[in-house]
Amino acid sequence: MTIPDLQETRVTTLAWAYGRFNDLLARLCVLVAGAGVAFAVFALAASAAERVLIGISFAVLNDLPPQLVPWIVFPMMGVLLRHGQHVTVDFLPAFLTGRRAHMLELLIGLLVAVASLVFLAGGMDALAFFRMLNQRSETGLNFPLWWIYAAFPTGFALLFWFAVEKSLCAALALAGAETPLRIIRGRAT
Amino acid sequence: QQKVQLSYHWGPTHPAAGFANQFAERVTERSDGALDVQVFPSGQLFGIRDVLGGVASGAVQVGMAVGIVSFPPINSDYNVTAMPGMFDSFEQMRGFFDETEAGQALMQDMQSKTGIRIVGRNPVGPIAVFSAKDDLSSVDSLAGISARVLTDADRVRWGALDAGSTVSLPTGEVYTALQNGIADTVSTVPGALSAYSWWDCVKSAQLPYFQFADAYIIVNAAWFEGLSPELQQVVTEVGAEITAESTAAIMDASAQMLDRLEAEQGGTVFELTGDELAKMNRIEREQIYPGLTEMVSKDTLDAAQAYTQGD
Amino acid sequence: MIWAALTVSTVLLLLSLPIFLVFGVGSSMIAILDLGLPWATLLQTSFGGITKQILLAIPLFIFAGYVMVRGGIATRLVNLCMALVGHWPGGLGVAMVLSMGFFAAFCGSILAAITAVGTILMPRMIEGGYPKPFVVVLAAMAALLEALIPPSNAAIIYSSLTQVPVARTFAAGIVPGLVLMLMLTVFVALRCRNMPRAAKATGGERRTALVAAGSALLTPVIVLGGIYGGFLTAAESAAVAGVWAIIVGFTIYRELTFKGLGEALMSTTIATSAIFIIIAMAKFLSVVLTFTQAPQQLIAGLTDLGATRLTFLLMVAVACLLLGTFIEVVPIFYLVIPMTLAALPIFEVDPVHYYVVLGAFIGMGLLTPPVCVGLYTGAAAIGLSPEKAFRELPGFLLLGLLYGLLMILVPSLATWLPSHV
Ligand code: NA
Ligand code: NA
Repeated sequence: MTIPDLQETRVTTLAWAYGRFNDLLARLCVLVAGAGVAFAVFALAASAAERVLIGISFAVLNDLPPQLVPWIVFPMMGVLLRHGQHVTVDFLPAFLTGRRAHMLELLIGLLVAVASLVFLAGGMDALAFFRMLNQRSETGLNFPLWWIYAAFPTGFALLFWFAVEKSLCAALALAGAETPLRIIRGRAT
Repeated sequence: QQKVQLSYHWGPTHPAAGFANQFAERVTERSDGALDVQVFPSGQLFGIRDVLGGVASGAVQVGMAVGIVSFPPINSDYNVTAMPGMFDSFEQMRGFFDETEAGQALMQDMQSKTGIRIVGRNPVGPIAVFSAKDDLSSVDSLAGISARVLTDADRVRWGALDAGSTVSLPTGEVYTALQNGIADTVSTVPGALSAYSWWDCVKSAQLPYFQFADAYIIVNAAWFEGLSPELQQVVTEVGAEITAESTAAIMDASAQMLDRLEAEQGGTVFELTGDELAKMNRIEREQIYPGLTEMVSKDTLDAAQAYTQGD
Repeated sequence: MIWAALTVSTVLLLLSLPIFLVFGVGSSMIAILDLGLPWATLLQTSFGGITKQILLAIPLFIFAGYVMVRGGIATRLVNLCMALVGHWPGGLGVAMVLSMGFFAAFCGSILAAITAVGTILMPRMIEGGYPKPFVVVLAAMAALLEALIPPSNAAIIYSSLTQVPVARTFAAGIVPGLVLMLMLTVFVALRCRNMPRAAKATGGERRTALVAAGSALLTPVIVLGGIYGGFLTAAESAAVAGVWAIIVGFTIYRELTFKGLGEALMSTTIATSAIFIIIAMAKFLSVVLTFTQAPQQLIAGLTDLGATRLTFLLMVAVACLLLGTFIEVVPIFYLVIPMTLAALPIFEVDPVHYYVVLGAFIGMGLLTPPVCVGLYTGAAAIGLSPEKAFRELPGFLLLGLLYGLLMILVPSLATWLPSHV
């Protein structure tokens, strides 16, 4: 009935939508990367069997899987950040608790966001060059090589996005905003 | 004084590496140190597939690019050099690129697309077939072998020759593959035998050479155009010198390598002649050419054929 | 600029930013701002680094390992080892060492081994009265066998950095692996001689365990037989091992489920991307090292100091130990190898010998706090706080140092077998 209530509902809905969207995005990244790994297992096993039994050696089975690695790796950067699965030196976090821990989280989130913006810009710069160069892959599929290089800026755009989420969560925790945080976080795990 | 970086992928024992170093030394010397060329060998900076991008982006100013690896991804018409038996010498192949309209247009296209300039050539060598098997005396002896492929053109060739299997391997893995039999046959330049120690496993070779692999001395065009006319002249002059010297040396060096294969490794060098050569040429004409024509435009192909037949 | 980059990197490292960003930010500061290189060069080198076919063997062996855990292969192996050595002094501990050794021949990843063998044996050892900290450190230490006995991710990375054929690097680890196994067995048997032992298995029980493990034991035959018999490249053998593990898990042991398979795929994807993103960014650093010729300067400095083969290896060993206390294993490989590779011919070090020495000293980083992933993984598997395990470290670290020195002083342990493949 009162305006604050309405606002709270709206904030809650926004937080819900935001968290839900990020869940889907993260799931999509994992799906892409997982599909890449699954394809590599299948393709290399099939290529070995095929070479021993028939012997034609299909380029798609042989040469394509390593070319897909960037699309397995870079889009996962953001997901790994979200789930705390990057390799880090956990020196400081071991000493910090409560508000200080949240402040460190906020700082890390912001630093990652800034760094990923720089890498995103660098990646776009390189991508423009590779498109100009216009090399094509030597695998049997014969696609433009910049399709592979595009994994780099894409990955850092995603990392930026999830770094913002991480910072936001840390900031909300510092501000003591329980509800939206629980909604974002609740979905995030 | 300006620091200039030169990148190539050959290991120190490859003949082409020596000429690359010579290029660097002479440019430094003749420019009175105005250009100080620093060499990064062995793929330290850029591997065989990356050096073109390295020069094009300006990360290094000079590079040695193997044509058949670097150029087809830019313009697939360069695969005309991979047509077996199309050219019978380095001179003839270069004549096509230098003297015909189609050849010049192809080279111009590659240079303008990438922002590089070709200032000389440093041949990798003539290509023959080498095998861990004892017998390569006939066309039929290639049937059933397991061949290593490096480029798409290789697949077509081995398919037509009825190879038992083909396997795509980076150069670094060929040695092991030859040793344990994943691949028993490679088509390559004789210099590769010692450069990568492949001759530990190779027992036979089959001539004639069916392809001539050129490497190009490439420079970043923007960098080159920024040089004073005198320095530009030094670079092109040394480029021409290295082209002449390396070309004169490469056929002899290759022949010596084949001699060493026989004398030191107890290998055998077979040369197809008479009916066998005719049979090979027929397969090339009737099966390999049609297989490769997808990769080369008809205009370029016709121009090359007109040039070599009129030659 | 170099000092600025080093300072920024150190600060980011201490703030516990992901280590790939630490590599990336520091290196690009120097590459872009100081050396004036285009971004394209960094990307080109980085992509060249991660798209090598040989490196693809890493996720595939990790995948095979996870499928084996979920498909019951690991359990069969542990049971077999228990039947073989459970009644020895310190029998459960020796069985842990032996199981790790066996499992090492199946799987490329140290952490997968700790999870696989550890989660099965650690609870049994604790039940048997072994102190938790000892169990955790033993599991982490024994998992080092994983890197020595092929297939091994460390060997794959080493080969991709040095052009040494992976078949040779694999072969180099076998004898040192057996030596380490022996040293660990003696150490455990002595330390745990008073622990309760399992009843000696009867001939029948042993036969049963052997038959049950039969299909599992075929895996290394397929992997190594495929590589050394000339049927398979390393990456293909890894893929075949994965497919074989799926077949065994579904049809023979019938413990694998589609859900389990999906989870194995998921774990592989996460582990793979965490490793490869570091490789990708460590390649930025190698661009900087090459352009600045820092390795050549370092080597010139070493020769000026009058370094010999022995002192060179000792210096590298100390550097690896120091780096290993606070950096993970994979980044150290990418830091140390490009820096020192050019020195090998100068000091007449055989590259496969170098691999074994590096493996010994970098591997100990899995145990040395504060960053000791091996210990954390083991501790997490039984829910122990890792700090509690620290008190067991000195004995094992001493053993590890002894092993490492042995590897430095007796190169033939590493070089003998590769010269025969
Ligand atoms: Na292993
Ligand atoms: Na450590």
